[in-house]
Amino acid sequence: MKSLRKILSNFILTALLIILITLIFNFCIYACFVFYFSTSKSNISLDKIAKELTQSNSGVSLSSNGLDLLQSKYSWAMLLDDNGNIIWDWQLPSDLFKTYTSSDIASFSKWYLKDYPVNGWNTKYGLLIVGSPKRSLWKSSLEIPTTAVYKFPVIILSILIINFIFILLLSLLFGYRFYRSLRIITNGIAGLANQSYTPLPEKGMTELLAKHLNQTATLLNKQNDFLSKRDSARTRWISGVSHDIRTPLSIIMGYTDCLKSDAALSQKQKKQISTIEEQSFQIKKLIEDLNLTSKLEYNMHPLRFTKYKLSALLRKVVTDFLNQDMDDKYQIYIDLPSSLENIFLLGDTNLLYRAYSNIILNSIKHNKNGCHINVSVILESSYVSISFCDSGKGIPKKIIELLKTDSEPDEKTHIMGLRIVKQIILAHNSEITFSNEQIIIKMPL
Amino acid sequence: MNNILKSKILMVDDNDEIRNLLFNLLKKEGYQSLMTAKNCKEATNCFQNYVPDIVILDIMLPDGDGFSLMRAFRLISDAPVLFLSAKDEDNDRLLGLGLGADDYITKPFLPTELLLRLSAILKRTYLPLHNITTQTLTLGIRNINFSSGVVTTPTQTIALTAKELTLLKKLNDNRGNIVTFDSLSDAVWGENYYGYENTLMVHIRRLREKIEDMPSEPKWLLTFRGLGYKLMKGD
Repeated sequence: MKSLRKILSNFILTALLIILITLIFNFCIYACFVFYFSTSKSNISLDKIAKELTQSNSGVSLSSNGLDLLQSKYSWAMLLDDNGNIIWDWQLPSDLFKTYTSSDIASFSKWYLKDYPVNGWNTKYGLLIVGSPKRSLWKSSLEIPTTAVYKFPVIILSILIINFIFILLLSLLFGYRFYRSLRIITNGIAGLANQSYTPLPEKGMTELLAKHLNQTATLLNKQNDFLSKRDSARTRWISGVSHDIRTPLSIIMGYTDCLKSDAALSQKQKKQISTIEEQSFQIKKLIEDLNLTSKLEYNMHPLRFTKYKLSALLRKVVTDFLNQDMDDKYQIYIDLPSSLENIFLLGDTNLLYRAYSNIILNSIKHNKNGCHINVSVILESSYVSISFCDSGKGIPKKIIELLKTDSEPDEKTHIMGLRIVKQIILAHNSEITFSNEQIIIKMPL
Repeated sequence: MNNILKSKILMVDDNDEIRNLLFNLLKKEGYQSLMTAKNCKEATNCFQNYVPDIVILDIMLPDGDGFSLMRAFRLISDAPVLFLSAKDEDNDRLLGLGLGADDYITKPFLPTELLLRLSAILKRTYLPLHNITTQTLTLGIRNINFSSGVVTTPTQTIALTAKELTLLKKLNDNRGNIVTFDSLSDAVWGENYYGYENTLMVHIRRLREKIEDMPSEPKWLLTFRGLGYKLMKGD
């Protein structure tokens, strides 16, 4: 709607501007026209000619000065007395020599005399008639009732208003049509953005635009297909590799376990074997994480959403840690408001369990001297905020930055555990913020 | 069968080393009758002739998959099946368990875990009487008999209510571990336990009155704030 209003107001403004400029332009042309032609011929010179007429014994005559004036503009002239007799003439065509009756005079004075456009001027000697060459002047007479003349301002104003309204309506109409054809393109672009593009009809004034947009969309689709193909190939590859590592690792872990119970081993050998065991377990965990993170990254891990009780899940995570005979230097506290007991959320509990465990495991792993871990929940009106904090050294700035920007860590930094946490939380349409002191997860209710 | 070590075990895996490992592992544990197969064909033959008591089955086999193999076995006998697979996808796990597998272990596995799970399945399937044997619990001077639901002290006998008994059983099954409010409520009221938190506290208090010397300062049934309760192990 906003764009429609903008387009329409633009259209109206443009239309008004065009009209204004056209009006000014036309007015200028008209002014020039009038200025040029009206000065070349006017009755004022007729008046000057009349002044050059003189009466002598032999009759009326024109001074040479007057003759020059006459010659410059007219082709003939005559002077009529009150009875319609010619008392003086100059180059008068022969068919015009006659006595003019008053009706003759009345009929030609405003119009033509035998197709000669004529003008008249009253002099003290009689009526001076001058004739221009045939077809050199177009004459019309204007007769308007006086009442109409009085209403002129009103009429002009109403014509202006009607014109204005007409222009307004037209620009509204064209503006709307423009908007309609643009809307198709806008919808197309919006479709491109949220990946629901349907090819646009290539017609009308946006034909070329639509065509280009269609081409762009095809190209984008192709690239998307290519990318998702490559992603799925990569995920399958990782999944395949981790699958292939599992069998040999089983054998390593199996025989290590057998060796461990061998009584003939020296203390040193026993220690070596338990290191092999620990490291094998690390590899096992790493390939599981690698597989999960690559699947989450490319949305290939099927999420199994069920309704679950958040308080129960958090209690289970913490209890499972406490039941693992943890060293006493690690303490986990949990603080849940009683209102949380009737909160049920939708989520993949296996994944969430893993995410929450990873966070606690991370605190334990990076605080070898022990720490207190606090899990607390605050219930807000539209979301629930879960906070994990520990009394240890906190998450280093570098790691926080890496997690925020999703950039690749250098070879010495391992953040897969927390990255999986982030991926799992994001897959649940929730927010996660990492800071030095704590990790906060906000889940919509 | 009164000894699970006499169970006939069929192990199906296409990897020679895994078969050897399993064979050695089970042999060492004391299982006496072991058979191995490296593909579906061998496994089917073996199953028909040897009729195992339990099958340890890989999912990806060179000439077929473990799921269909299990279906074929189930037409012949109800022997339990334990999947041992390198596929860790939830889908496979759920498919396996959904088809009626008795357990699903992913590779790499801890040998001890495999042995524990194997013997658990065997006990459950072939020694059902073993589970029903009267269980008793001793807490200091008190003896609790789970089948009669009675607490006996040198001086008196106190009966437990059904709910108290269920709670105590659940705690005893996880003795030494914290049991969350949720699993306790689940055990007593079933899955839709929502809203029973306070009732649970009342039952625990009454239970303490029957099994503790000083219910206000419990020695056996401890509260873990915000989490649940733990039945302490005896010294």
